[in-house]
Amino acid sequence: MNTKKLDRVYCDDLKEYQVLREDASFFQKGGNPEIFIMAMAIGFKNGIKTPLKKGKEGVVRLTYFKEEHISMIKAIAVIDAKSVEVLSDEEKVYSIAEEYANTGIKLLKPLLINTDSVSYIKKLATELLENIKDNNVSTFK
Amino acid sequence: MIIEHIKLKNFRQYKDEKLTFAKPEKEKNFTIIQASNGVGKSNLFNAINWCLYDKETHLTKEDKRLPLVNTLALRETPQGEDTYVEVEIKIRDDENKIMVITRKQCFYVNDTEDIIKNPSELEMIREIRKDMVKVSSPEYIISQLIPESIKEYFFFDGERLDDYFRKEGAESIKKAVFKISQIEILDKVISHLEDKSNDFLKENKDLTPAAENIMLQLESGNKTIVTLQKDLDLKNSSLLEAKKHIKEMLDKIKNNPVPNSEDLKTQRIQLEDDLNKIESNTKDLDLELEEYFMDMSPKILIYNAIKNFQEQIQEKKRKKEIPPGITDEYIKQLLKSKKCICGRQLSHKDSSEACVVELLNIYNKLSNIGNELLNNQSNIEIMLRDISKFRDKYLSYEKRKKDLQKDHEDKSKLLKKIKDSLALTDDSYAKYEQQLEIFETEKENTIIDITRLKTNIENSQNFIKIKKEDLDNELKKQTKFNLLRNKLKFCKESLDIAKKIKDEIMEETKKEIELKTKRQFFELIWNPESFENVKIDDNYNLSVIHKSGLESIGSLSAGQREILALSFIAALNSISGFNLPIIIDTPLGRISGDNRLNIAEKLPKFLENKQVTLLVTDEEYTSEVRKRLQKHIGKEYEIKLKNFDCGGIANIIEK
Repeated sequence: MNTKKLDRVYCDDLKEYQVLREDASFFQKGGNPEIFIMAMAIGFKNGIKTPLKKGKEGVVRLTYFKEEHISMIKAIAVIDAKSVEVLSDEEKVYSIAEEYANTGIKLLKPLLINTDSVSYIKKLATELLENIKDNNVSTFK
Repeated sequence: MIIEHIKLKNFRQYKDEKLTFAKPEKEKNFTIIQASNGVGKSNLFNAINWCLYDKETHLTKEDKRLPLVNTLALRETPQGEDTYVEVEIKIRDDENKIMVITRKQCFYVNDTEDIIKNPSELEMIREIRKDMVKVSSPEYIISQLIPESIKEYFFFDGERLDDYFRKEGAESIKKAVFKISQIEILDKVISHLEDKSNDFLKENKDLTPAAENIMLQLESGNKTIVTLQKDLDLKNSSLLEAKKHIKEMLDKIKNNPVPNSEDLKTQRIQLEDDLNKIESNTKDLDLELEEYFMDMSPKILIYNAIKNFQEQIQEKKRKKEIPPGITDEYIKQLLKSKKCICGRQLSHKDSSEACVVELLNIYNKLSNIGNELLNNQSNIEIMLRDISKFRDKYLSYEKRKKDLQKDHEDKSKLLKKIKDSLALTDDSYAKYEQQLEIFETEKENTIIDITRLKTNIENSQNFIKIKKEDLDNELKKQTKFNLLRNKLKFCKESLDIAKKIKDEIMEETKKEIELKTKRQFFELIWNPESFENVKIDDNYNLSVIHKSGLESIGSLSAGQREILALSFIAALNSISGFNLPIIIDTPLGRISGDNRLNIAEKLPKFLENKQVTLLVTDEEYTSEVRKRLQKHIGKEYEIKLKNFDCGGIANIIEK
C-alpha cells in the first residue's frame, strides 16, 4: 500500500483542462475542480472508466474541492464499488473518480468547444430533465 | 624791406661795432664787406641770424669752440659782474616804418672760472604813428617779416650754392619750392583734416545704421496688421452672418413647432435605455444559468450515485450501524481497565480479552466508514434537494428569460415606431436643428478665430510700438551718423581740395621758378648759345639741357653752376613775395678767372632794386671784380682784426 499521503487528483493531459478553462464559456466562472467534477459525472453517466497512463499529471489539489465535490466523488466510489467499504480506501475512491473524469474530459471537449454555452445548456437541460424524469426525482419535490 | 644798420656789442670778435647798409636807391644798392678768411666775415652773417632767430648757422670749427660773448670783454668785466652780448638790427619796412630788433644775452664767470650764460632776450620797438612802441611778441613779427624757413634764400653762402645740384638735389629744390610757395598752412590743413577724418571714422564705427532694417521690419509688421485686420473684418462679417442664420433657424423652429417631438425623443431615449437594461439582465441571467448548470449538472448526472449514497446511509441507520452504539474509545477503555462491559474480568488466559480486541478492530473500521457516511449525509441531502428543485428552478429561469425576451421585443417594436414617427414628423425640424447646430458651431469657431486674430493684432501692434521706439533711437543714431558722414565727406573734400591747391600752387610755383631761373640763366650765362633749356621736372630735378638735347648739369663748370644757382635763388627770391635784402657770403668763392668777372658784371643786373650785401674775401674781391661792381656799391667796408692774443677784435672800417 502506498503510504504516501494523497493530496491531489490526476489526469492524463493537463492541456485538456487548460483548453476548456480558457475556451469554454460554460466554465468561465469555474476552474479545474469544476471541470474535473463535470468530466467525472459525464464519464460516470456514460459508465466508462479510463485508467490513467503512467505519465499522469496532478490536476486538482484536494483542498481546492468544495465539500459537495468530495461527497460526489465518494458517492461515485460507493456505487462503483457497490460497497461503502470503499470509503475506507481513500486512494481507491479518488482513483475511481480520476478514471471516470479521464473518460468524461474527452467527451466534454467536443460538447463545449466552439459551442456557445446557451446552446449547450439547452441540450444539457433536456438531458438533465430526462434524467430526473427517469429517476423519478419528483419524489424529492 | 631793408636793413639800415646793424650794431654789434661783445658778439664774438665784434666788441662794439656798427655797420650801416647801402640803400637800394640810385643803383647803389650793394654793400661790400671785405675781409680775409677767419677775420669775422661769416660772424656778421651769424650776428644777423642770431639776432633774428637766436641761431648761428655759419659757424667755423674754431668759432664753435669759443663762446658767443667776446672773450676780451668778458675778461675786462670785473669778477661777479655781467657781460652783455647785444646785436641790434634797424630795419625799414616796405611802408617806410622803422623797426629796431635787439637781442641781448647775459654772460658771467663763476667762482670756478666757468662761463655761465642766461637765456637771450629779444626786444623789438616799432614805429607806429610816429611813435616808437615796444612790440609784445617780437618773434611773431619776425616770423611774418622774414620767415625762418625762407631766410636761406636771402641770406646765403655762395660756396654752398652748389649743394642744390650736388648733395640734396631734387629734394632740396622741392623743399625750396614748397617753402617759397608759403603753403605750410595748407600742409597743416591737410594734416589736421586727416586727423579729423580718422577721428570721425573711429566715431562712425559705433554708429551702425540699423534704421533701414527696422523700417523693413516695421513695414512687414504693418502689412501683417493690415492682413490680420482684413481677416478680422471677414470673421466679424462671418460672425454676423452666423448670428443672422441662427436667428433665422430659431425663428423657423419657433414658427414650425413639432407636436410631442420632445416627448417622443424622451420616450426614445427611455426605450433605448430600457432595452440596454434588458439586454444586460439577459446576459446576467445567462451567466447565472451557466453557473447554476455548472453546479447542478454533475449532481444530476450522478443522481444514481448520490441517491445510492443516501440509501446506504439510511440502510446503515436503519441497521443501527450508524451512529455506532459503542465507540472504539469506550472499547479501548475496557481493554485498559481489563473489565468487560458485562462486568467480567478480561484475561488473556481465556479468549475474553482477544474477543474485545477483535471487537475493537471491527469497530475501528465501522466507525471510519460510518463517520464518512455521516459526514457526507448533509451534503447528500442538500444535493438531492437541489436536484429535486432543479426543474422548477430551470423553468423559472426560462420564464424569466422569456419575459425578458418579450419585453425586449415589445420595446424594440415601440422604439422602432417612435423612431419612424420622429423620422417622419421631424424632417424639417431636424433639418433646422441640424442647420442651427452648424451655425452655432460656426459662430463658436468664428469667435475663437476673432479672439486669436485680436491677440495677433495686439501682438503686432506691440511689436510695431517697440520697433518705432527702436527706429527713433536708430534715427537719432542715423542723424549723428549722417552728420558724421557729412563731416567726413567735408573732410575728404577739403582734403582733396587742400591737396589739389597745394599741388597746384607747388606746380605753379615750380613753373614760375623754372621760367625765371631759365630767363635769369640765359641772361647771365656768357655762352647762352651752348644751352637749349633749363627745366625743373615733375620730380623737382633741375636740369640744363645742352643744345645737343642732352642733360648737361653734370658737365657745367663751377661758374656756370654758380650762375644757375644764383638764377634759381633769384627766381625764388623774386616769386617769394618777400621784399628782403640779400646777403651773400663769399659769392665768388668758388669761381675763378673770367667767370668771376662775368658774374661780377652780371650780378647787379639780376639783383637790381634789391638791397644786396656781399661778404667777400680778399681773394675774390679783386680789383677787376670791384671795378665791375663799382657803380652799384653804396657802402664798402673792410674788417680788420687786432688783439690776436685775446681771440681777436674785429673793427669794421668804412672805405
